[in-house]
Amino acid sequence: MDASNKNFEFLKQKFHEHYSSVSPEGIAPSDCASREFGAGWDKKIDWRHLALASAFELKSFLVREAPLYVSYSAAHYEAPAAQPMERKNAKAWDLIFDIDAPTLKVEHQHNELFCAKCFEAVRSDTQRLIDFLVGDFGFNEKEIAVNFSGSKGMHVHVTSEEALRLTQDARKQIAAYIKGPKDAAALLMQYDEKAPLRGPNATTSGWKRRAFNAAKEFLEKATVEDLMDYGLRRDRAQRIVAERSVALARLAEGVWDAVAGLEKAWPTLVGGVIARSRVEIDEPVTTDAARLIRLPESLHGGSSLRAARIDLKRLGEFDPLKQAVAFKSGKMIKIKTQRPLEFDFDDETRCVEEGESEIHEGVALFLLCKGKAELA
Amino acid sequence: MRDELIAKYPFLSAAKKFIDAGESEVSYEELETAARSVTSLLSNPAASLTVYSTPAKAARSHALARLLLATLNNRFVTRRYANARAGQAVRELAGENDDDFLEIARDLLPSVEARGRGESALFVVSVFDFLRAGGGLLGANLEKGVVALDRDALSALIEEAVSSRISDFAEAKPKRLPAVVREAAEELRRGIPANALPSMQAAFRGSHLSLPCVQALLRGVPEGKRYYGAMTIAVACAKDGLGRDAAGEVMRQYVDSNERGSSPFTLREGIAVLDWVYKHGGEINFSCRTMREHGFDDGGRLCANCAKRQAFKQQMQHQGKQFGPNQPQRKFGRGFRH
Repeated sequence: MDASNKNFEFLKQKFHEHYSSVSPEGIAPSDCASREFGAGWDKKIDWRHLALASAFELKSFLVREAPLYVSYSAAHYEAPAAQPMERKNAKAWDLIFDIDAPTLKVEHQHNELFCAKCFEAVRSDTQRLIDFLVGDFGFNEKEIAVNFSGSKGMHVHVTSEEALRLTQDARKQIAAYIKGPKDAAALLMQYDEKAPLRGPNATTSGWKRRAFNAAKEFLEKATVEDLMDYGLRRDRAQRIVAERSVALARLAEGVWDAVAGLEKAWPTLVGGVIARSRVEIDEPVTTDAARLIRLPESLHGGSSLRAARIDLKRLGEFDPLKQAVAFKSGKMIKIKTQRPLEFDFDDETRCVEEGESEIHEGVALFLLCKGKAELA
Repeated sequence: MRDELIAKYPFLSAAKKFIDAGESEVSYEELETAARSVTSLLSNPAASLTVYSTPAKAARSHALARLLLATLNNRFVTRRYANARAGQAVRELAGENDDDFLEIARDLLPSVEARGRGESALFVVSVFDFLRAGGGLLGANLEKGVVALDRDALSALIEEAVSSRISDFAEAKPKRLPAVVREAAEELRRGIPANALPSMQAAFRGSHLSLPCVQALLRGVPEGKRYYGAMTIAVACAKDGLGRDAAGEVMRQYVDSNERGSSPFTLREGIAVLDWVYKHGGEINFSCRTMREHGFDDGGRLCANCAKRQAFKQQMQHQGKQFGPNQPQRKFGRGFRH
């Protein structure tokens, strides 16, 4: 048995042990019998079009086959095992979002195993996404479920009755809304630079409100220097500051160029609000009706971590390297590595020497799944 | 719902009881009459609503027209008809009192509620109804799952919803229809004049709408440029003195010409641009330079054959001035530049 086969069999054995200990209800999705399942060993999906009629049958499958990756359909089908896709006959779809990378550029920690900075940004993006879902779309927090992806991202599932009936066009619109307008021009109306500049007023909401609030806050506090930073001449900036109350009153009516020169500042300012407020979701996950997504609480073959469900109230504290660790038996496993590694894992900083060493099972499985170690 | 409303708006849900209570057999003559109403509306989408003497007649005529269109199975013709029918209905709706307007709105958008009455009334509708009706989210006043709209915006949404309801043939099974219906549909197909659709373009030929670049826009533009395209068309309509209703027809043609893609440009978005331009019509001039900046000149090819540009060039030469892209720009009114 070569090294890669030995590692693979070891992982399968450990995954089998893990799935033997989980409760069927703890891992089965809602409406299990209507879902299509997918499973993978070499890659994320080697097998799909699987139908499993109950939580018990799902658990039996996981224990027997010990897949390294498990996924399930957003769609609820009449015939989940049917092929081709049209014959499955979808009845409804969960509304799902995937954030697999930070929206804004982050200075990495250069840890090849797991970048805590990137994950912190993804967690913050997830909170902003939830704010959209609740504040803009009116979903109840009880209808929103979040889980760690198992690798470096987050998944958000909306399970309300209304969400289940959304058409594909509606999902595209929702995804586009969360990703935000392409630029300020989508929120400000002007034919060319000589035409009047009109935009959101005090009564608007949604993205227009975000733009309006940013403009209002800026106008309320801007100094001459702040305005000059946007490319205005000093005399123009001074005039705007002097006529601030006029500009604010007209802004509330939707007139964004009441004082000459202001129109220079808006595209950059509004563009900045859009950039900071939007969330870069993986759009096909939300809009593709045939998509399979990681089963919450299943194990991820690329990390050995659980796709752990997260309490919304504790989202800000969630650390996957503590709370998504599945293997905590305390057993020691012998591994060998090509070079030394240092990383945080399960509440400790781990230092693994180059060559052979004996380490805790959870750490070993993490390194084996990441491809950074082999069994000794 | 009052019978008078159903007679005017037979797409309303309450019309179904008249269909169910009516004759199940349909004659060729009835289908011919329905076919004529379809071709008539396609030829003149700005026509006023036909009001039938009874709701039963209105419901039956409407149902037969839809039956023929479903059998015809031509998506473009169906959408043209549905859009025209929806446009008629919304123009008529403008004259309805607040209570009737709201009752009709609720038939299409069950969650709609009014806040206030008269011209300044605001309406709120659930985001789900808004999306189902084809509303555009990015510019919507959305908060806590509810979209706020004024009467004009709600009318535009109703128009989308009516058009979708008329053109949705999900329940139709054309292959199971009687032969008389299939024959009548075939007659309808032959009866749609070859120039029936282009004739709508001919009706909207003003000096700006007939510009080669604007005609090119009406045939559709790539995603990312549709908003600016809509703005240009709206300005062209306003400058050519088109009435708001006729301009709406032009905008519908523009929306229909754009493939849906991943970010569809909806009729609602187009109408919103149109309404904004018509509100500020006197302040905005058509700008050839803006057209070039947005790439609507097909790399200069369309300008090369443009009569407007040729006329301006001759005028400049007559005045002894040089003409070219790097020469000082002379303004003729606000925003008018070559």
